[in-house]
Amino acid sequence: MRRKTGLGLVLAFLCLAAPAFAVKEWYDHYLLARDRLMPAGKWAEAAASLQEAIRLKPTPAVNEQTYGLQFVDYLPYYQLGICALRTGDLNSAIRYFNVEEGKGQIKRAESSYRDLIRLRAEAESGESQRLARLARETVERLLREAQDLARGRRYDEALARLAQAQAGAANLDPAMQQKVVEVRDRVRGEQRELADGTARSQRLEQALAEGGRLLDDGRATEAILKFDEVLALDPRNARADAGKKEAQEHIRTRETRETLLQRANLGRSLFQAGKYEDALEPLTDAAADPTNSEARELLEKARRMVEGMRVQKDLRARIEALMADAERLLAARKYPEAWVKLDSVLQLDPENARARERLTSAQRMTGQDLFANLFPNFPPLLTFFEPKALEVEGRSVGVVGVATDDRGIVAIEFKQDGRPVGRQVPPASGDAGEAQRSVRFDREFPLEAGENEISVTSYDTQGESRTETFKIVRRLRIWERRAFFPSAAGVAFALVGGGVALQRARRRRAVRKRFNPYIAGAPVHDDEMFFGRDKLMARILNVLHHNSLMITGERRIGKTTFMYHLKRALETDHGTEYRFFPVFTDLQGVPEDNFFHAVMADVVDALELSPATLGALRYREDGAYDGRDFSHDLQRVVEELATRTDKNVKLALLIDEVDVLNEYSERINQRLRSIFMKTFSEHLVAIMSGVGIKRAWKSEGSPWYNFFDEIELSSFTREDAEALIRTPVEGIFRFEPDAVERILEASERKPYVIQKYCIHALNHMLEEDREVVRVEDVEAVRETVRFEGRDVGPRATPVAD
Amino acid sequence: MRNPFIAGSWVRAENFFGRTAILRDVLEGERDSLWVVGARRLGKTSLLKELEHRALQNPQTPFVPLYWDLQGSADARGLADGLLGSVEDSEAFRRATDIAVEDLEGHSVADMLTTLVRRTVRSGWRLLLLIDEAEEFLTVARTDAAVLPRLRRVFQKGNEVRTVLTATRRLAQIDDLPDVATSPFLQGFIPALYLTPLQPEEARALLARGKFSEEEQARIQERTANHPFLLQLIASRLFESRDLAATLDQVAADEMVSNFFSVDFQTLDARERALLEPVARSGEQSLDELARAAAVSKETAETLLFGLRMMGYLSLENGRFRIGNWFFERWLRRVAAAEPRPA
Repeated sequence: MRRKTGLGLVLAFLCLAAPAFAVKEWYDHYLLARDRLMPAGKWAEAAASLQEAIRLKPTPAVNEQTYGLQFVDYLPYYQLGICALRTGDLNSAIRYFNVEEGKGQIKRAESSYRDLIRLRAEAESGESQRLARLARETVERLLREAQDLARGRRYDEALARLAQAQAGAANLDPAMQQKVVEVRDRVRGEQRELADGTARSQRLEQALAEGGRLLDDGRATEAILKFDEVLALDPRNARADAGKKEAQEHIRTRETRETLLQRANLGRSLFQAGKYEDALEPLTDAAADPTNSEARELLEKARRMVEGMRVQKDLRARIEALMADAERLLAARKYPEAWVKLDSVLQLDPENARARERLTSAQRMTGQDLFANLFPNFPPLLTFFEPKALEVEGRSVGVVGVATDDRGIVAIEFKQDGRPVGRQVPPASGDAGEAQRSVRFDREFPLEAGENEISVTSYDTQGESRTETFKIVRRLRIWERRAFFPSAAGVAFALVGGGVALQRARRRRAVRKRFNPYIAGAPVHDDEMFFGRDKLMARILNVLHHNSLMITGERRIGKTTFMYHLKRALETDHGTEYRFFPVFTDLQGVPEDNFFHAVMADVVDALELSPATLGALRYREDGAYDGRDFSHDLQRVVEELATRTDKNVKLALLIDEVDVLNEYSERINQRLRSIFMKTFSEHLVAIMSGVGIKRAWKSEGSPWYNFFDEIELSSFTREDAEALIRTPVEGIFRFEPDAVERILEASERKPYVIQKYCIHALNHMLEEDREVVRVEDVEAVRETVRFEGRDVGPRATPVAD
Repeated sequence: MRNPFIAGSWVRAENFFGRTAILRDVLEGERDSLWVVGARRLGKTSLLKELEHRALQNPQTPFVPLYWDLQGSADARGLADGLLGSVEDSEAFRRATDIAVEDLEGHSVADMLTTLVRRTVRSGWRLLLLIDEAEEFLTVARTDAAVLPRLRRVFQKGNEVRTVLTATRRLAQIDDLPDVATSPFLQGFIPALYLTPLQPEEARALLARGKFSEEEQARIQERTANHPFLLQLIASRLFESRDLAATLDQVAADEMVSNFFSVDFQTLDARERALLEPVARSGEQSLDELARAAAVSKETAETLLFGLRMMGYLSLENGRFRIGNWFFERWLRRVAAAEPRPA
């Protein structure tokens, strides 16, 4: 006991001593990696340092204070992505970039975000090339193995290899796909030829032997039936011919002419009653009479009918056996072998719906298995939308996010303070019971006062998992504290004083940090900074299911910001019979001949399409791509989206900077319109935004833009403009009413100009070390705002007719 | 309830209203070559989509439909490309005729059409060819005139194919083009069927979706003269705002609507425009007054006025012509006021 106490003391001492080692803060690791190790090309050391930073501070942040008045954009996953990219680990690079993007903060750091997109594209391109190379090598290897096996007459194994090759070639060039199909058909043909030949000779030998035996036993009629069977397979078979003649002679000597006629009558009546098999014997007897041509004719017909039935019966038996084999192989997860069996069934019975359905499943699983071998599995990704803050006052906190994984998510577990508190098992989708690839979760956690540890773990089908943990601090509201009521009166004064002091301290801190939340120039992603468009948003959501829209407005009026928020609103608009899949495209800098390709690239990026759909698309990263390809691919995309929901699918293309279309030829614009005339366009809506459409129209047909309803984005209402000025700094700084009036008047309630005024006026106020924005602050920055905003307003060149 | 109105996109099935007579003429009539002429945004594409829908839904029909949008085709190659796209778009057609896109690729557009007709007939059907934006033939005629006679031969293959063209009046110019030397392209397609504004009861059925008051419905019908696009646009905006007066003012001042009238007006020929302008200036005119103002014979004026009336540009009351609807009248007055009065 004494020794245990001593050991405990030592451990306690070590624990107490631990902070002495942990002198480094998250930013020490981060800045070491970003500013020293990475520029020196020490990628592995930089990655280790970044991982350490993430351990201490998992959540990225923009403009985060480090020491003193130093601020830094903390984007550790982005930096890790760069390290991975530079060391050639492209897959990890893509994943880190995706994680950083999923966390959302980087979108506020415009330049870094642009770099992320560029670097990710670089990594994706490299990764695609690597994967394509790997897939090609695999397919070529499988082809070689299949050909070797076929030479050794191991056809089933050869065809199983070819099934895998076919799955692997699905995303390769058509020539390779064609080659696989040709080899498969050749092997299949050889196998069939061999099998047919063997079966034929076995049947022939067997029937010949039985015919001889029956003749020896004096059963001449039955013997003839067997000899006839042989002659049907080999009309020149001398043994069968001789046997048959001998048997007929037996019958002629055994039976009188009268009995042969009776046999003929019996045979005819059985034939007419449809009892073809029973009719064979009497007709065979009767046919021994060379003068009875009718009996011979009926016998021939009956024999054909019986043979046909036998073939059908054999076919059914063969199909049943093949189906049973296929099911057994599927159960044993031998998908390529099952594919071969099911393929055989469909060759025998092309209409067999069950086999077709199971074949689709076997093909998919073969592809997945091959894919799994080619490409290693990685843990799922977790992206969180809530909680937005790690300090809350409420009694509970919502944790909302999405778990994604290319192999499918099988479960999401929730723990609070280490204890499991819930498990979400998403239902399988589709007939084949596939795990969903993207699963949304939304769970409310009750909070204790102080620190609460909440963790979310997602598991994929291969058992890989990822856990994200939040430490959420619940601050008690003052009236929730035990001592509140007894001491309320006494505390009230202190509270007011304390509150004022707290507010004061908060303001001073804000002044010190030069807190300025306004954004001008970049699109506003933050929900809390998005003002003044609620009614318009509601209106658009109300009509979008049936109408495509053109949002017009002068430059810097907030079109791109609006489009971002519309996209977000569509993603979460689950309350109706429609399910929107929004895709955002920016046409800036897209040349005419790349228009359809650029839009499809964004569709592919945004929707995480299945490998099967990707394989069915004509879209490739390089190569010619026109309106017809685009139309073809959109149909495939819509087909996949329909499998993701029971609701009415609406693929929403949000196309920004649509003024670029004004520079295109009318033909391209007409091609775009013609997409919306297609039948599948019932599942398609477009929301375009730009300054305006060129309305001059020379072509004979309808103007391309006339399927849009136009909505103009105008200046803010007074109420919304005031909210934009006051709300972002509420509780910290204040605007004098006259200052607000002056901004409203000078800005003409245009959001970009308002933000400009607010940024500069606030900075001016901070320079003066104040906490209230006055008229003189607004006046002092007027020239600056005018200068910076000189490009605001409609374009100089009109775009109307 | 979400906004049930659709302004701009084509409609079919439960969203389609009226047009009973034209639908019957196409699906049950005797003519195998039809040209449906209509102004812009009067519902030509929707009519074809509804025909396609009805032919696909009706187990008794002898037709298998194929919708072919010519927009942007420009030349024979573009036509072929568009036709392939149409076949690709219609799984029902491919199934019914057992045809694959690969069977057509590499052929000229006329050969493709011939193959389509042959395969359709072989599968026990008749081809209902629904051609949208047929004005594009004007562009094709200018770049590749030789293709039109070949197409016309397929379009008019008697009992095997029923061809429906939709276009504005401009398509009539095709027979005036000097390069088209053979029989007139539109021979057999004439007389054209006119796509008119909706009938009053059809417009009422459409507006009933918005649960507007009787007075509101009546006012919308009066102002739009049952023009389907204007009905849908106003109803859609009224559904959101619930303020009819403001909605009517807003639509009247809407640049998009002005542009629609402007583009539509350009589809008319000079004589037709000359007939409309005096009506806009003076409010109403008789046949004699209009013939004089447009400097055409009374017979010519009568023919042209009939077409304008059928397409909703004009209405006739007590022997006097008025502009078809209030919005168009306002726009035309503005335009007419900006131009010098003819001597």
